[in-house]
Amino acid sequence: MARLKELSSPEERWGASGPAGSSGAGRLRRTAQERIATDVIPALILLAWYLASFRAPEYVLPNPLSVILLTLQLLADPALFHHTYISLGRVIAAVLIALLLGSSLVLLARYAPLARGFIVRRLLPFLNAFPTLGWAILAVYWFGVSDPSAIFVEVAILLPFSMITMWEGMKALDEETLEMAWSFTRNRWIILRKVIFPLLLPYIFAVLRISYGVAWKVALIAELFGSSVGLGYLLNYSRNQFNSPMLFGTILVIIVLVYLMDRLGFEPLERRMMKYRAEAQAGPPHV
Amino acid sequence: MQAAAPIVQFGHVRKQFAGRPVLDGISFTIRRGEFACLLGPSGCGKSTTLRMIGGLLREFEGSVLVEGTRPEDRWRSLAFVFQSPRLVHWRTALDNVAFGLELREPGMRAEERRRAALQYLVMMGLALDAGKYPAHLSGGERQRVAFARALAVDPALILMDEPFSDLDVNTRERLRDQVITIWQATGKTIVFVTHDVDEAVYLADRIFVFSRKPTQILRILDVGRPRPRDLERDPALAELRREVRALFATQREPPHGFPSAGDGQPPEPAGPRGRGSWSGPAPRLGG
Repeated sequence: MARLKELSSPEERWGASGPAGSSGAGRLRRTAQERIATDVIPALILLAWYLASFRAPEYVLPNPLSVILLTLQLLADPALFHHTYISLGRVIAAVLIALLLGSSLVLLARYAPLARGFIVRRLLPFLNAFPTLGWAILAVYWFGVSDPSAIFVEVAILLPFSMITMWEGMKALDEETLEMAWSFTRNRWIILRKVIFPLLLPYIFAVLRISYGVAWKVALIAELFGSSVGLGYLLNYSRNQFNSPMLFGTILVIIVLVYLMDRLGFEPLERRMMKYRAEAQAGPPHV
Repeated sequence: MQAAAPIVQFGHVRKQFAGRPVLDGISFTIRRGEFACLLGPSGCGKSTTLRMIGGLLREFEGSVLVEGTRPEDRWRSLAFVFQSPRLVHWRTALDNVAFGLELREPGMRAEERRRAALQYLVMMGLALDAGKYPAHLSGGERQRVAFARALAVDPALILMDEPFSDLDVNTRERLRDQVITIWQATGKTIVFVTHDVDEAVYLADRIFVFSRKPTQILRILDVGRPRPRDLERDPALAELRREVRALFATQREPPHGFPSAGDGQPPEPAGPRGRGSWSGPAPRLGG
């Protein structure tokens, strides 16, 4: 997020392509102001929370320090962190399964016209409309309280996201490029790997990013019903126990995990895999 | 070089798009090593003919033979250069040239591929642009990369589909010379589709003049003049140009009662190549 913002800020654009006259000091000051807006405001809110927590009962507003402590425990304390990592594992598994399954279905829809109507006009709207809670309850009936139950619910909810995005990607495939590839080889597998996959890469990243965030939202509902371990379970447990710091801590750890994955996972990966973009931008524009 | 051996043979080939006849019984032979231009008004089925040779279009009546057998079995013997370069934007010029090889010879070592690619890039005078992405190349440079990509797979037959029609006049003239030089150096067969009379007269050993739809071959002209050619100074070429233009003039408007499909200017069939395929300017008939 922060990087995107930096890149698109006017200072950056002026700095990169503007006349040499733009003043360095002015840029610094602007950046400092931006930093205040980005980081100091949350710090102030945290401070206000801290002060307010002395006046409010703990179940309404727990002390932020104990919330942060619990968040750290959920990430690093062996007594608690299995909840976090089991949820994380389920989320990652569900995201990947939904991506693969959704892409395969959509590929099938593209290359097997017979299946297209069913996949695009029946299955997709059905999955898209199905309520999360409905899946969560059914999954317990079908799979009991278990890992598969939670993962099933997450995949069921993520599937339409990946199908819609990948279907758009398929529709945007450049026929001329595909024909060029076909003129050089008759091996469909090579074309899939070397031409279709790179063309779909931006769509794949879109699916991953959307899915990962949505999966966490779904995970909690799935685990609320279908699991005896995981952050969803912990959330429900904290609610029953009026353990407000734990409740807040569970929420915070999810926010941290979503943010970290974006910054340390998706962004660097996307940069690496779509390196040409950066290089294409860095090169001299042709005149 | 077996100059007289046939490499492409068409026997009474007919083709319809959406019930409209496009090719109306076409027969001709292209000899190994020759530079053949298929010349005709826009939308007359020249590109369709080329795609039949390339095995990209397989449904038609009559017989098409490449090296004595079905085109779909000879795809390894040929390579296309399309009207638009059809480079992949995520690869550098060098890797685009290597791409054809990569698709056709997946077993080949990457180093070897790149070495071969570089050789052809140098041949096209693009050694210094090897590391550039297509976005930073001019239209002419891109088309030269596409030509190098075709050469790199070392085909016996190169099929060129109005490759210079999107380029400015100067670039076009330079590229014509480059194609001739390379054709002379490599001894490959080139089938070159164009709607530009001057281009055909400048390039071809033989010109296959196509009529308007429903298309027949009006005449096969032996150019038989030494290269490099000068259309302004060589009286034989000037005469030939006049002859072809006169032939073309009869094709400009369908004469009254001409048994065409009964249309003034029929819309192009969406069949063969999708968008942009026949969208070039009107044929340059007069001068």
